Amino acid sequence: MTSPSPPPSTSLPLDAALKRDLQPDVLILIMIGGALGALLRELFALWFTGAANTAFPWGILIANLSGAFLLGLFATWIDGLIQHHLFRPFWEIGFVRSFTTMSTLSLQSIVLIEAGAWTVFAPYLAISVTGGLFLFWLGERLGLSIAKEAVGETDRTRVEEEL
Amino acid sequence: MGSLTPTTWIAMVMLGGAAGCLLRHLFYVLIDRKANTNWPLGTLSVNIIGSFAIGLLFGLHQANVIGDYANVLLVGGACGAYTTFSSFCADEIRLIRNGRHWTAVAVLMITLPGCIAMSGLGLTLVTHFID
Repeated sequence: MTSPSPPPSTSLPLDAALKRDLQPDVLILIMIGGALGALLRELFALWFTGAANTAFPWGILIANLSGAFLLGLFATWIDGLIQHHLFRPFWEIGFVRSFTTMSTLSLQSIVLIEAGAWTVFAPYLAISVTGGLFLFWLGERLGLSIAKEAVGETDRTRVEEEL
Repeated sequence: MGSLTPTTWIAMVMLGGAAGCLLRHLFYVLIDRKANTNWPLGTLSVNIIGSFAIGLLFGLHQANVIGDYANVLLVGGACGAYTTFSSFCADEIRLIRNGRHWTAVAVLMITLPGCIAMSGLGLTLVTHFID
């Protein structure tokens, strides 16, 4: 947009950005976050989804929707509070993105379609997409309004430009 | 959990999750830094590739080519973590906010039917060649 000083992530030269993203500590934190995110997601699937292959996939739905909300909330609020360079690799790239999944959603869709369970497949897909988009947007709005109350007038424009 | 004990199940999911997540990050670094485009190609391509892989692996497990260990490690762990739904939502909302509505519609129309079709293709390939 029209920001005079672009955010740090894009203002770095290509080589520096590459180097930053491939630091060993960054990669390790991403892997730890990814391991925890995947574990929590699979536990959700275990706890909230019935055993039958045509059961409504509540576990993955809850993981995907709450992950979308958390990503929006943190991007506009918590990320600004925690400036440590390893926080985003651990939390966003590692945990949240691994907690949510597209491949399991696709596979479940195929299984449901093959079983002819259209009354499960259709609402599952519809709620996933509309709910995910809405909750990410809601998380961003909420995070932004909290961040706005916490920062001064000069920082407010910076927060809005980062969006 | 299949035939796995809770401890091995947890270990397999976490190992797979760590590997899938790392692969995705490396893929993003490769795609988004090299490709000079405003399209969210990183998210789009990991989701398409991961959906194809999960279909293949699910089929291989059903045909008893891979066991329960590999299934938990690769399907729920690695493929699940390699692909991402939250970034897809983030990409879409950011495209819409930047006024790029047609790109947002195109990404949506490619991602959802594309990922589901790729899972089906992976599964069909396995059942076609193994049975």
